[in-house]
Amino acid sequence: MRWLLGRLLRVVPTILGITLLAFALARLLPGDPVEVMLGERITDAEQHREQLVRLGLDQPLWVQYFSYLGRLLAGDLGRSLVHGRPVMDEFLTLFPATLELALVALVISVVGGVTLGTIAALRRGSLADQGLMALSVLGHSMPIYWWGLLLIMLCSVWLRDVAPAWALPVSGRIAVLFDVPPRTGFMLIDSALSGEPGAFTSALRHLVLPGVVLGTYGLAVIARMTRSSLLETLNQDFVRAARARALSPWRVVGLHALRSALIPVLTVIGMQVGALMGGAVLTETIFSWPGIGRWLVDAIYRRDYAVLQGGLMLTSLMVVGVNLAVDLLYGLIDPRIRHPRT
Amino acid sequence: MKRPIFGAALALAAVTGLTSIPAAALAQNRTLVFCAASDPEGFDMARWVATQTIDAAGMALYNRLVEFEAGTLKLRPGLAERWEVSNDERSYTFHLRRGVRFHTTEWFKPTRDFNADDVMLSLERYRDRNSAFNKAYGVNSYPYNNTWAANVVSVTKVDPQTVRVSLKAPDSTFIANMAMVTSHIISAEYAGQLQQANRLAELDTRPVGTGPWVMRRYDKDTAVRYDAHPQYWGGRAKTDRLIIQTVKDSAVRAQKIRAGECHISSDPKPQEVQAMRSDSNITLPEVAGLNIGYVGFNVTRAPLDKREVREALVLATNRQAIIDAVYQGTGIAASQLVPPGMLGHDPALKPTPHDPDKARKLLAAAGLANGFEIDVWVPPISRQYNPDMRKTAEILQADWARIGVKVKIVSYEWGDFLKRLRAGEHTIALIGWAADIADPDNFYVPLVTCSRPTASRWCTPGVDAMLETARRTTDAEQRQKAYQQVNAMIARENPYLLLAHGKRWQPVRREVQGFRVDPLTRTILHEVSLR
Repeated sequence: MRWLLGRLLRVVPTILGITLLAFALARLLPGDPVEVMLGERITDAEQHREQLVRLGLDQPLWVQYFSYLGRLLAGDLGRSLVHGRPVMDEFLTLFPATLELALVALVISVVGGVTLGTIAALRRGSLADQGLMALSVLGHSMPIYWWGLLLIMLCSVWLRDVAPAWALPVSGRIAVLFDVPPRTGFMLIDSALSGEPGAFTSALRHLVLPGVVLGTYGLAVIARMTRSSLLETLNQDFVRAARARALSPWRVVGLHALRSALIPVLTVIGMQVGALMGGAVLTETIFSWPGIGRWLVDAIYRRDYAVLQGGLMLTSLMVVGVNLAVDLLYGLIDPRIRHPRT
Repeated sequence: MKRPIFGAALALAAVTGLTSIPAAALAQNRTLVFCAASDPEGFDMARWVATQTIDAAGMALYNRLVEFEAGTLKLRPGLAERWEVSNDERSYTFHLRRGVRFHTTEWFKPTRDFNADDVMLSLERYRDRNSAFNKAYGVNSYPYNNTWAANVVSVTKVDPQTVRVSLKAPDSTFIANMAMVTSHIISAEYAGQLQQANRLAELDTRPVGTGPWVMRRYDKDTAVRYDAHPQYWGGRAKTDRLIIQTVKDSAVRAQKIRAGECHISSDPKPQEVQAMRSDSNITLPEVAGLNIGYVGFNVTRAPLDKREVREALVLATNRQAIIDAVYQGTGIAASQLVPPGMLGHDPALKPTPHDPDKARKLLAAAGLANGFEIDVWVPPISRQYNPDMRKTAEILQADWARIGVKVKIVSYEWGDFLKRLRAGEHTIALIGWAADIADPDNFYVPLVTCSRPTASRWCTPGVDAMLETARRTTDAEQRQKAYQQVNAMIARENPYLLLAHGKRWQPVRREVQGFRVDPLTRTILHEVSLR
């Protein structure tokens, strides 16, 4: 219990650090929201000042920070400086889109990564192994923006000319003609609930390219991790024992080796949450995906300090939360972590 | 191992094996899809300035007392059937159209037609900034509103169908300002209900207007959906539904219109325009834009404080090369601030010719025979008035090198650029201007008056007085005379190197009929039909 409390308490300075970092990062951007909004139309210095006063940006920075912190303690993330809507409302509206995309990417990473890693481990040293590992290095180092545009060119543009029926949509969450009212915010669920024929398939098709792009990095990492972990496990005594009992290779690998080999892979999957959030920023921008990533990029361009602070804060909290959950989970699984030797 | 892979392939085949929505289906559904470059900032034009907001809110949802005719700069009656101007030009009486219905939506059911109360509220909220309304709900994000609103003494209801606006001083731009997209008319009945419920902010999120489209739903960062306003006074829109879809990446927008996923798209880049021209399904109607791309010479900094140096740089510039390379041949060489066809334009004034020899002599006369080094600031933006700022700067660099002027191209992030520009830290900066109303005042006042932090910092009190004279009279001849005098002074002093007036073009699919590109950076969609 003491260990748990200590772990939870350590989150507090992290969060405080995040608030300060988010505040500072927003303010470090050159220009201010009024300037960026009016662009070359700012021709009147008095107007500019008036707008800054209206937004409370004429106050000294420390006053702004503490009033932000005060509001935060009261559970208020503030309102967007650009369109005045509550930051929390915007986050809750857009978050399901990011979560949906991230889950699909995670499924692609895990299923693809574990499958390819297992194949590579079982065929160690073969051409397939070398080929798969070379591909995983490629996937690991592929710039998301480039990879996304390449897939659009290939699966949307080129395929449209060659085999139009197979072409995937360029962007968005669903074909714009489907008028799906947001109920849960998850397009797959909402489109299924809408009862419009074809809506669900359209939503699914729209998920393919961004899901693959966002999932590629994780897939590559998980494939490598699965391979090396499985290779290590395959050499262990209990696997040899299983083989000695003349169990089928499928049972040896599937039921014994893989189960044990996947424990370190789980760590990697936990760590992917942060990478997915980072990757979502670019993926959402390329595929016009209305989620948190694109929202934050817009906030940067528009110098929407409130959105930037709130958004960074909430996404960081999520990453902190997931890491905390993983830590706690380990503590439960492995008592050595809970009771470290002194 | 084979089975799962095969299964996954089958699933992927099922997902991908369905065709995308073809353009024919869109037409059949009588739904017009316009791909916009960003989301609207909000839906009450009193707060916003972006082009996307003008299209999604200003033009789709609202009307004004006076309107600019679509695709032209002509003024025509809007919600006011007619108006009269008093002899002293200080009072405008608007006679309002009868039988105009506000939108019926999920959030508001109007009990009456449009009348003088709506005009009173809509205009008063700009004028009286201390009103209870304005305390509860900020307006005036857009500075240009203050120019006309500050000159308004009162807005009076003469009778339910007549409104009188009294001005402190005559203002020849007043009627054009009433046609400006921010002078839209909102429902006083709806605003009253919201104010009573302490929910005035909903004016900006759940809009009600008299315009051709009724907003049904807004999905952030995705689309705004509209139905045709069934009782629209100007005639029901020619399609049943409108979707303004947000597609931020210009390359993706280009792909979407080629794929038939949108009928009309906004703001293509010149390089995409070239590719679209080869697509037989897309047309690219264009119109001369109300804009000016220029290079600002900061006249308060050496060596640009010398008139000869500025003139030398203008003479050394091969303007045609810029028009060919940057505007892809579609720009109109600029000789003065306002484009041809507009009041204030002087046809006798021609663009300064390219004459490097004369430029060298002028530099020598200014004591700079060996040339000098100078920074040229380039903003990281692309606009109709200048689609490629960097390329422009590179051409200037090459041209000016021939007279011994070494250019260092300096680029700042957009927000930083604006801040520094307003502070006057630059010596030379590329920038431009797009007008909001078809009135020369909207060019001259922001670009050459002493009170504004312009890119040239050129301040000649005589010019301010001349512009004031032009604004205070509705006599077109008198105004033209004043503007011509200002034009001549600008041509002599060269506070700017005037480059070109950029054309406005919009990609439109072949099945679209009745669409006109608007010179005022607006997209008007209710007159559009689908074959």
